[in-house]
Amino acid sequence: MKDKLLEIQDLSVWYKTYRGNAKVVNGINLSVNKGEKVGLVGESGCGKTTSMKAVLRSLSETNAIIPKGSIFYGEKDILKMKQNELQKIRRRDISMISQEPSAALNPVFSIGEQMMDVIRFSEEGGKLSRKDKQEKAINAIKSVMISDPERILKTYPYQLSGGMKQRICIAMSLVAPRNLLIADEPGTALDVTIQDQIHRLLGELVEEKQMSLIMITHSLGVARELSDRIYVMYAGEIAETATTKEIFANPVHPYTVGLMNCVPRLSGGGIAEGIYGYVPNYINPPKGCRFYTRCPKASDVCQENKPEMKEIATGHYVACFNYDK
Amino acid sequence: MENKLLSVKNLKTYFLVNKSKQQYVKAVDDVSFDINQGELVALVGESGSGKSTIAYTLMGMNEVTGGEIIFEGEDIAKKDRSFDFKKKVQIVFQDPGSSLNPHHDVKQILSLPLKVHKIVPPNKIESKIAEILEMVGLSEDFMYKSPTAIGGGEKQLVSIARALCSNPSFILLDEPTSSLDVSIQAKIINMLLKIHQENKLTYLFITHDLSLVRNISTKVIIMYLGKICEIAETEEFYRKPLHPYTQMLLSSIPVVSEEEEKLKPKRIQSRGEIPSPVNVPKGCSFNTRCNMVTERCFIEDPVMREVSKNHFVRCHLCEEQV
Repeated sequence: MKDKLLEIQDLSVWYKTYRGNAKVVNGINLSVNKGEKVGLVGESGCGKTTSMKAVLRSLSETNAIIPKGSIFYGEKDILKMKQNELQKIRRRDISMISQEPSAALNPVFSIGEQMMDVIRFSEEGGKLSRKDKQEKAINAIKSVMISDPERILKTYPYQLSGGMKQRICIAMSLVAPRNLLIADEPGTALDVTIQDQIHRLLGELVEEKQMSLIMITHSLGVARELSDRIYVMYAGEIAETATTKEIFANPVHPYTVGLMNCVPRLSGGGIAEGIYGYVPNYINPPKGCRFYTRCPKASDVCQENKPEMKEIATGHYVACFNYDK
Repeated sequence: MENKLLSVKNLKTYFLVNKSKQQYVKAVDDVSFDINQGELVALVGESGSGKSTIAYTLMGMNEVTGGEIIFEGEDIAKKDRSFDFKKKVQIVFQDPGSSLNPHHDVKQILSLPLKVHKIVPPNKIESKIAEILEMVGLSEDFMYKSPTAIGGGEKQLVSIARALCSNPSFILLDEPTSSLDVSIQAKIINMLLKIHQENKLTYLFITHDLSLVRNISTKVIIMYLGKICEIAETEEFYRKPLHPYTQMLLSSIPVVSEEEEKLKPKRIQSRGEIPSPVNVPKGCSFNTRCNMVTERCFIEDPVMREVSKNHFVRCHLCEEQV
């Protein structure tokens, strides 16, 4: 049996709004093994970022509620941790790369200063001399293929391009040894050629340092290239999960199938019709299956009852009544 | 012979950045291409390559620094766009959130072009709007909604509806689906293709998504740093991409099947970033990132050559193939 690094059990996240609670994440189960690359795929607003922010407990404290669920990191439940334990996890174990690199870096501090902060709070950081820290930062910047790291340390974020900033964010999250890296669409704000470089770099570094990776993305293509196992999320619920190979060879959930058909193919053949309708309202979500309103295979059962996750092949789970047998 | 609708010759759009040093950003530099009636031409490039600037220059939103824009046989580069041109040519912007007036409802937004171009008599405006909304796949209820109250995909449909109001013959689509999800993108693209066929329109489709282009366009234009690298018909383009930049673009696309993986030129790995357009490298502007760079590329800027019928490439390496 493989070692589980992170296990999310039955997690729900609600956001308070003036019209009532928006049930954005609704009872998801997700696990990451040691050294595994997991892709979390879904369209915008399906709760993929929200659920991952819950892992680091960086959701808005005034606005977000976690009514149930637990997130086990090793033996401990992150949701029940005290502030100082949590701080340790954030500084030493799990790091997150955000979608928008320019928003993730502080504009009034130089790259060097920001990087030193990360090193200072890492496990061995307190013992290092300033020179050692500097050297560590320089090595980290070199590892993300940026030339002239000494100069980069003195620059401010506004002096760098989007691709460079994203590289710096990656360097920062890898400057100290980590166990888990959560990458929230790291290439979306960038051009395809730059995105390709960032993804390749991320894949190589994760493998080299034997970390686990959760790759949040809306693109099935990106997930295919960068993950061993994929979770497909729809409207705050996990619709389907399987190994990357299996899910592309044999997608079964109607949403996964629909999503896959929508992707324009390089080999041509036109574009499928798209998925009928829109994402449901989170304040009053459908009672049964949340995909009911848009599903081409919907029946009466789906309207009233919530489908459970069923294993239809080894490691291939799907939440759909069509695969009950 | 196909009917030429628009012909751009040596078009230049420069922006002044420093008056005392006479420093310019050459956003569009010596660009030539033709668009025939009924074509769906895709203009592809990274951000900062000047593809939107071309669209804005065609629309008359930017001043032309040099060159000709021949629309229906008349050079309009240095003139104000005529009323007739404004009726025939429409544009759909990338960000529907900022291109629709949030203080107007959809009916007000759509009735303005109908009134200005006198498409229908005032008493029929409402029924015409309903007709156009139906054309783009929105229900009549949307007429009284505000753009702030509808989703991103629906907003983009409204801005497409607005472009269709004046019965145009040519529509410039500036990344109409790049901010949307794939399931919504598929819907909008299908609707656009349907209208393209039914109304015999001509599109200039600006995008950065080459796998989308494969499925919709008849001709592909690749731009890099204000210059065109390659022009070819879609079939030919994907069978035989010649310019190193095109190959780099194609090999960077994340794909979802093995079949597609085989179509990608494998040996090219993308590297480097697009240089600042103020300091364009000497010689070929792609020489900082090119995998097949030679000495000549640093000295001499290549010119456009026709390597096979309707397939133009601007690269020294393709010279021998002519």
